[in-house]
Amino acid sequence: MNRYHKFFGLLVVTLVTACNKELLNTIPNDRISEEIYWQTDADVISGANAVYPYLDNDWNYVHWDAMSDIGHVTLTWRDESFIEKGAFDATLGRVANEWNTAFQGIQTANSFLMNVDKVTAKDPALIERLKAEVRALRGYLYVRLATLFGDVPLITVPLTLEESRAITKSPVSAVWDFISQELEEAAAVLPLTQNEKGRITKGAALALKARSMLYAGRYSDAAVAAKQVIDLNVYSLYPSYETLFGYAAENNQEIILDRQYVKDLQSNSIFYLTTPNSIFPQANSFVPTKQAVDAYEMTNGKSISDPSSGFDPEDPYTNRDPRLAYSIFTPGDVLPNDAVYDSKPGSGTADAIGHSENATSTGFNVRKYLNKEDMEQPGNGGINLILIRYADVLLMYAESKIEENQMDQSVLDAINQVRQRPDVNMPPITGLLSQDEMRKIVRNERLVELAFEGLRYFDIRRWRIAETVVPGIVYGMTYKDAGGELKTVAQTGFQKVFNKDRDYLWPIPQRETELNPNLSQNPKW
Amino acid sequence: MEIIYLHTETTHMKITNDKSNPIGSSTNTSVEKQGIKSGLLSILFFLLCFFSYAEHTRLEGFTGFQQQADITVKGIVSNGKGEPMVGVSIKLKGTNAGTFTNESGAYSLSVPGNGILIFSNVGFVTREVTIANRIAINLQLEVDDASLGEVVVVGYGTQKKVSLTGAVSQVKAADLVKRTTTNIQQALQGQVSGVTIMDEGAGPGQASMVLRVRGVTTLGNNEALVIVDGIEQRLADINPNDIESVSVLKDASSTAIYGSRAANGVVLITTKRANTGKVSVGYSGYYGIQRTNNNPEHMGLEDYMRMQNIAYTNSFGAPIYTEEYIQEYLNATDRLKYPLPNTWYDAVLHQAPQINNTLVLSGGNDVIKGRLSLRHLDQDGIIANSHSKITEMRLNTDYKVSKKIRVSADINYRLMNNLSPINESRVFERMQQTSQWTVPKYPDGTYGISSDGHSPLLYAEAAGTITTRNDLLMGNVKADWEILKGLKFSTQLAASMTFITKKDYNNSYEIRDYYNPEIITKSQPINSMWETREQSREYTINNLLTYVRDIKSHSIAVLGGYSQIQNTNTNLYAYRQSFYNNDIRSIDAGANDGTKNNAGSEAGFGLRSYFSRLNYAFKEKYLFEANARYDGSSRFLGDNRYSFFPSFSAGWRLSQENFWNKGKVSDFINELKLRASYGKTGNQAVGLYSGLVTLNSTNYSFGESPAPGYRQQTLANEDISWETTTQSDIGIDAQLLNNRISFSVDWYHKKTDDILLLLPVPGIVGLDPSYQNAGRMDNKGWEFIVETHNRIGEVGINANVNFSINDNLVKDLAGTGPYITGGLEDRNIVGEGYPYRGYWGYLTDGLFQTQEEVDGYPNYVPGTAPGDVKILDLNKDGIISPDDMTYLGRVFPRYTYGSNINVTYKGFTLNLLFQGTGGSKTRLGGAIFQMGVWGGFTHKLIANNYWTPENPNARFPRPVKFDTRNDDMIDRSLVDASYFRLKNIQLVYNIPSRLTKKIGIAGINVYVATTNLLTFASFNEWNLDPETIPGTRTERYPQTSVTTFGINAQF
Repeated sequence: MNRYHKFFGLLVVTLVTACNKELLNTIPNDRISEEIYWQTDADVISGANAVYPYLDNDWNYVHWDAMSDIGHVTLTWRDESFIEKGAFDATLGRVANEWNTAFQGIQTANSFLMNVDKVTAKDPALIERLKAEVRALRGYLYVRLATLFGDVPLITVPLTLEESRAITKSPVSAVWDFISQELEEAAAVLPLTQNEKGRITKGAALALKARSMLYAGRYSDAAVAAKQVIDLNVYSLYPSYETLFGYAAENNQEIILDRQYVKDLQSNSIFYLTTPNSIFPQANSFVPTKQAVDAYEMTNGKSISDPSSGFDPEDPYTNRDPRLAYSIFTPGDVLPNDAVYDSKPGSGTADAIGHSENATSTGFNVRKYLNKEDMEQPGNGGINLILIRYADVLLMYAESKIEENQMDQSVLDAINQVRQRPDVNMPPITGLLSQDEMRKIVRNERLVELAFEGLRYFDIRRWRIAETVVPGIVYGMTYKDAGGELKTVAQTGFQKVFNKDRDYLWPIPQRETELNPNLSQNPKW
Repeated sequence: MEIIYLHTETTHMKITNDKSNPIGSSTNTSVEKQGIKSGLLSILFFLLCFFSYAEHTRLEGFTGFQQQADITVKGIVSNGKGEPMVGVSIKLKGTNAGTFTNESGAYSLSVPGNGILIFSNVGFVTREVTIANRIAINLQLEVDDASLGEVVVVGYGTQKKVSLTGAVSQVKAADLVKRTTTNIQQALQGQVSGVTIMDEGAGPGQASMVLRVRGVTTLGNNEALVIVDGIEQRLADINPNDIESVSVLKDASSTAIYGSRAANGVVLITTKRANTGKVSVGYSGYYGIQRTNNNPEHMGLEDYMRMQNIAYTNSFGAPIYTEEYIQEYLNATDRLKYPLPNTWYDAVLHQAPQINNTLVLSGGNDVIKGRLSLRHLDQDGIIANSHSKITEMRLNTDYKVSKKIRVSADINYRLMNNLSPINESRVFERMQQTSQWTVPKYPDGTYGISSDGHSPLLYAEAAGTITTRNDLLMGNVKADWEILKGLKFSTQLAASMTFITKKDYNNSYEIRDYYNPEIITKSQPINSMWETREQSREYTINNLLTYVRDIKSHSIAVLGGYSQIQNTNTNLYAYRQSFYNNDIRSIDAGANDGTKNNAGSEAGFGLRSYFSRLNYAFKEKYLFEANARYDGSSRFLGDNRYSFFPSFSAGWRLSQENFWNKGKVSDFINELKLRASYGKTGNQAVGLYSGLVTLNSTNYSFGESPAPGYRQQTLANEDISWETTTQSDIGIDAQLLNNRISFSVDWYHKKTDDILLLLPVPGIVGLDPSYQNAGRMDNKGWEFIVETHNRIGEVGINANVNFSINDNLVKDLAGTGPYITGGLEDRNIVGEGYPYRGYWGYLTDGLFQTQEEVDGYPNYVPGTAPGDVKILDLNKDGIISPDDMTYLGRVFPRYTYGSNINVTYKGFTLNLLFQGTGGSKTRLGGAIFQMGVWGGFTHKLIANNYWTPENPNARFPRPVKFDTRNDDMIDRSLVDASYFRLKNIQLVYNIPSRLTKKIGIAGINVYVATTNLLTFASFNEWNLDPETIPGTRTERYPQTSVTTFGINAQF
């Protein structure tokens, strides 16, 4: 018996000593803790890199114009459709998302700027450059916040939870002041070109400043900044508008800032989001409206509404500004899969209006960025999305000079440079017209040159024309019906709404005002 | 794995070559046949074994049995008071021959004069009487106090049921195997009061069951702690046939001994062990056929086309079909060219077989004994590529090392092979959404692709598969040492390992148009695979010291214990694409270029606990119990790491008092106990490492090169700690009419404090919220159980009914909230004063009838017209806004009930299990409620019952196209979820042993059973199962109803 007891005693001892002192001190080894970070130059680089993903992504990019007068959101249950219908409120997901994402980016930038000096740098110049990049990116995020929400909290250091529950808004003018100064200081440090394509350059910071000052209505500052970009002599127009949005043109001389993508590694779904239904069913997110198509002039430079323009309603797409065909698929166009685009109701193709919920409801589809290379994997595109390009800077320069009423030949030159890109080759604007007429010209030029690049939504808001150009039912193509009558497609069941007393600013997200009583809601929301 | 590969091959062939399949036929025959074949083979194998065994024993049987002449025995059976007893069973020992006493207690039976008679009746001691050629045998039966000696498994031990002071429900093995189930949760459904189980369907091997003990306790993890033979385990991983008993611990008194993990209740499972004696061989097997319970009927062709025309007119101003086209379509006979709107249910779903074989060897002597069980379950799914196979083994052994030392060692190995289509939910989603007018399969085997590019049949059959291989190994060694009389030390060491290998394989394919093969209708040019390796190890140590002593009228039991759990798990994922073909499924065979990818993670946790229990009883009349547990968890930091969970309970057996037995009432109520308990338990359900500031990686690229980044993503909360649930319970247990009826009532109040909440933080802080201890939730409820044993003549009836009421209320969210989650279609609220996750949305008031009515009332969307749903402007501010939303009903049932009825007559046993819930609502979402808005499944119920100017009193609103204005989250989309169903019906026949003995079988019974045969629910009109989770219920793998033929044999 005794030996059993010994055996058993041994077992007990084994079990008891199995107790592990570190049992409750589990330290993760699949993630990095803050204590070991901020030591090397590499930490600084990856800390700065973490701010870049806050540049507009594919989804955001395409949906801005989808909510403007030149676009229509395909699926009526999407958040963006509710904005288009004016039937949204402070609880809408997209509203919260814009706010949260911007402040996440700002937190990342602030945390970088607060911690970066802990690092004893081997290459101090590198640190200074990255600081400037991060400040410019933070500026980019504040431009978005100021345009959408107006007065917002201006945060430049990481907040504690308690601080975030009590902080107050800064007047939008202070936000614009901040952006202006930050971008100018960043531009002073940043190089003309960067070895790594896609990093913020001096030109990008200045162009962003021009855009922000234009949005702020500070036209003289905008003109100066735009002129600074022009005078850098780094940028020029890419000769082909048609291929500007294709892979071969990535990082060309016209690009000032873009959101960079690489197939497989860091891919986008832009093809998927804009594709006609016949190429990829159940994917399309938005389509151009009649307003978009009608904005393109005849090749003689006249508007189609001008009786002397030679516009033929029965053959509406010939002799039009070539940018129409480069930007929008209209009936009869050849699609990337070599099929002919036939969106007429009852055409029998998957593009026929009414075919299914993702088929075009206007008879048009967006062509920009729809590259053949992405057909196989529409959700795995590597095409960079352009955020600021030189043509935009030229038009910003022209617009700010016109608004300043300082119209001179340089204004005409800027506009005509854009109009006379080799494969666009529209007749130049000659002779200086009245400020009103010039304003009309530059605004239409911005529409057709920059359509579906995420700028129209902000343009119609800062011009305060949204209330007139947005509301109403959605119109589309004009076609001959069975009886030979010309008929214009109208989605009678859908109403675009824009409330001028309210919608020029988005509401502060409901949760923000609930969690922080110091944040007042925007008027009428 | 062989079968899986074989199957892949056949599907692959089908895409390219198979021209023989008719339209829409189910094409999963290869797997079905394979499954049936292997099942039949194994049955054959078992039978061969048994016959060879039978061959051996038959001779003995013949020689050992001596026939003797029959005599007739008569007599009267009475109870202790001399009153005649009705329905007493009298049987000849070793046979099925027998009879019952009549109204005057008399019986008469023809038996061999040298036999033995067995007298039995529920609630009385069974007596065996040697006949010895007597012709008159009168007998008095004694009341059986043994039923009062019933032992219940509790935390770290057992207790006599009569001395129990906590709320514990126990289910015995026999009640768990009546219903054909593949998991134990299903088997428990309807059997335990206070436990709500919802069957949410899902494919073979992936059953999605919700088990809640006394309601929803917290906002996070509500899973009960499951302990199998002392070790934590998943309920889904246990073979129902191995279970001896299941105890559900519900109140704080019984659960507090499990401290920090016990707030949601504890389920204790004891597995079967061997008895001493000759090795017995048991076989049980069944063959079952599964059918879906969700079979909605599509609207007829003409009704559908005309409704679409109205919808298009309402949205675009013109119809889509001309009258000529409608006539052409209706009169067409070629349904390949003019397909019916939606035939997916017929094409995709099919009946599916399942086979289960269990073989048990059990026996041994006083020194060593063992029970070995082997099981093989082969379950096919109701769609293609849906299959599960479980092969498992459990060996429980016991060793008597010395008089004072006993050791037991158990091992359980389980292999589960699952097969499912890649993206299985897409199969069900696309049967519903936007896939109208499609031929599922053309005569040559070509898949028809819907105009929006989908085919659920293709998705099921050929889009790829997920193959999962899950190995589970549990080893458990336990030793008991009786140091002195009454003082026992017990130690246990267990290891549990899980190893999962998983391949998510997306096939490449190319589907061409049936009429014009030039056109590619759908293609997936690149095949790809994610391979997963998950490994988890958990080691548990339990050490217990117990001391039991009776001193005169005082009984004392003391328990002290230590326990620790250490868990680590590592995961590894690898991706490649562009494999040579879809059958090559080894990671190395994919393209070795920039597309390859990998990922991994590691985590671990530890738990250290000290606990003790004290029981004191005076004369088995006054009962006291105290429990305490001190728990430390690695999930928390610093001072928050350890927490203390005490509980107290007391009981009073009134029926032991002298005054009780003096009165007449004791004749009626022979046992009565009052009990009450109070205590605290915890919940540590918080993500690992929540207290640490960590940096997450981000991705960007410059030029063509990756540019990795790091940023803090989540706020860290160092102060995070346990959730604490405080529970009070008052209960009554009674036995009536000589134990013929037992009755139990419980009232409880459960308060959960410091609930771990992801309290929203202002967006401007720029970080995701982390868990904080805030919030409080209450559950109050009642539980009733009645159990009765009766005999009327030769018919025996046992029945039990359980009924529970649970009221759940969110009491406090630390001044925040309410939190409204979900969107247009689905919206729930977690807010103070509401039940957890109640429905939240708009109230409606019928349909707008006239344009004036529309103009005079705030509209939900611009362009509202007559026939649209009228959403109430609740706050009368002139606009429809979220401020008009309100509480619309509870998601979790308020009432849960079940009833088990067992009727025996001669060799037959009929078992009926009824089960139901009440007081909740369920949301009808997705295509089925949307009236063809997107061109999806449109229910027959809607036909000619939607608003038009001519049909203003219709039930459903006007149809509109591509617009969801009428089916957002409104009261109209909610349906009463109450149901009452015959969950299971089983008829068993015991083949008389005199027949089976001849072939060497000790006992055999055969049965037939069906689940979900009959359901009463207001949901029935939609032809959907009421148990599914709310929402787009039709887009999930549905519940099935199973009809089973089974056999149990003992050799």
